[in-house]
Amino acid sequence: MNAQIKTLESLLHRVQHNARAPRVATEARVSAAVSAIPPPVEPFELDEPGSMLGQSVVPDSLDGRQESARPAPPNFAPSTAPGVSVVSLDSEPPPAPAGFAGSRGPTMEQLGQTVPLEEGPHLALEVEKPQAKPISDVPPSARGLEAAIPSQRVVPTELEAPPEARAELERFRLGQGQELQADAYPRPTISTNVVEFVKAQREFQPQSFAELLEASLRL
Amino acid sequence: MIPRFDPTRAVVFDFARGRMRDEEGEARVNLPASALVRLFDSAGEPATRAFAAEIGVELGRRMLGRFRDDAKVAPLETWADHLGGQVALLGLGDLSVERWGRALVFRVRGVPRDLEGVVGVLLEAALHRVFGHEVRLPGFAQGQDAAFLAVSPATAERVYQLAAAGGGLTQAIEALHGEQVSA
Repeated sequence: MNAQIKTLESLLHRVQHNARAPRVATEARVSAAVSAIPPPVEPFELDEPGSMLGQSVVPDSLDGRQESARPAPPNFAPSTAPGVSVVSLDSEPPPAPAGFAGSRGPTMEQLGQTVPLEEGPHLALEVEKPQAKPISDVPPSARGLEAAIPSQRVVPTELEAPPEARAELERFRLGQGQELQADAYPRPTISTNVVEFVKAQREFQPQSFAELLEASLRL
Repeated sequence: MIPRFDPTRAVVFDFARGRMRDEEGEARVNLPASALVRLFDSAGEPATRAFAAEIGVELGRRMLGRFRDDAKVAPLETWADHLGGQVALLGLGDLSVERWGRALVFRVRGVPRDLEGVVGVLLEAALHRVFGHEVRLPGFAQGQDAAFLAVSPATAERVYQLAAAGGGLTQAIEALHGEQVSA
């Protein structure tokens, strides 16, 4: 019995001794130890167990709008767990998380039967500054692929008007209007109507006016 | 090659001086057609025929000057062009040439009223001046047109008889061709 009492006293003494020891060093050690441990993966906050596996966040069909018209499941809380991105079908794709290619991505167990999208996240692309000189600084002759566009000055001005237009141009230059010119109409073409009853004369084809006049005078 | 009829400067009006001249410098007078008809009625047929024949001879002379040696070999189209052009310059209508079998017909459209006979005599004189043949041109009124059938003086009497019997241009041509075939 006394032995048990001594044991309890020694324990009490040790506890009191520890209680008086400095606490800062202990907290520092604990903090250092905690920082060395990788952060735990927080579970999805789901109201209904199994909804994560039964309903994929990423649509099975990539048809787009028809699927986007489907309302979201009730009581679905977007997860903010690291490595898991909630794809909103009605809005623009979310920006890629930092360290997308790192080890913080979702595991295969988290993805379940997720079908990966073909279109990747928007990544900022850096374009290297061209080494060559700007094309505007290069003279056109040195580019080798340009041809001078003929301007109005390049077109030869010594081109002559067609012969049939010279008279008209000259008349216009002299200020003579068309209304001052006599309207000359050619004589109507002759009518070669041959009366049907003159069957015996069909083969007669005069070659000149004089020949026809002679034939007419012999009637 | 006979050039086409060119009416350019065929008649020149000198309005400031009150003159009108043709291409040869001859003075011209612009008169109302109705006044000319009244003058012809007063002068009588012989004087009217002489007046028209004189104009026709002058017209034939001008055509010879343009045709030169090609007057007898010129085709119908060339004659229609130049003879029609001269008639048009006189203001006597639009002339065309027609061939009905062996018959030669001049058709003039738009002849001033009561001047059809003058046109026929004028054409007779012009042809006589060019070819040296006596040509008669009995006229037939066909609506607004005047048609003249070119025949010899002897045949012209036959045509006048047919016309007096009520025959028209077609009947006259048919009769003349029939008589020729039977002969």
